[in-house]
Amino acid sequence: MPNQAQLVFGEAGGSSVAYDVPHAQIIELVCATASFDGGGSAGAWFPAVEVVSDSGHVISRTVTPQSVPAGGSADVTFAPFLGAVGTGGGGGFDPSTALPFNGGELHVHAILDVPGDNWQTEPDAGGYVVVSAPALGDPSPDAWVIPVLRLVGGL
Amino acid sequence: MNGALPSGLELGSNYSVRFVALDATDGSAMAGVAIGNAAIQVNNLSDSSLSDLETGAWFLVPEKGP
Repeated sequence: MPNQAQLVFGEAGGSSVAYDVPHAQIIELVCATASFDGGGSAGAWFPAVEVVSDSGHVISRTVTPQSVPAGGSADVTFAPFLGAVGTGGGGGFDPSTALPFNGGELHVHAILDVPGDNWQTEPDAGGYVVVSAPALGDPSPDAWVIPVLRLVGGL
Repeated sequence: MNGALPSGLELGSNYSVRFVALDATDGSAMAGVAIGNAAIQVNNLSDSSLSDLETGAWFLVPEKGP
């Protein structure tokens, strides 16, 4: 990957840290990470990364889905596909996660804890992963349709 | 902690990538938060060498030798 570069900020950080794209350069931002030390914060806050245009306007602002409480700290990674964690039912990922158009292939690795043997998984027409046990003659297979991940976009 | 960065963010000259802490009540800059260990990974879409991307306190991570 000769055109891919990692750039690190070599000084102690302040309340904001910015990378200014040098003259005559064009980059694609792939991933950003930083440590946020909120030991002096008096209230809850959100770690964020912004893209500021050459005119000084914020054209993109990405924040974490959860805030950091007063006095708290966080190591944060901003990257595509690192979306919000589901907020209901004790966590897990959001089953309605949307993918960017022409997102290509998405490989999902998951462990499904289901009873018995002969369970099968397959994608249905709606983009959900369906778990069923036809060999066991389950009388209500619909009860085992698990929306593991909804695929949205140009796949 | 993670955030979902938009994909395909192409930035030209004098654009900036800025890490900030935002007050949860009004979205303003949050005082008392120090940001460090900042790093970004980028694709160089210019014809110039990677070293031209270094600016200010930002340094290129050297590639491993053979």
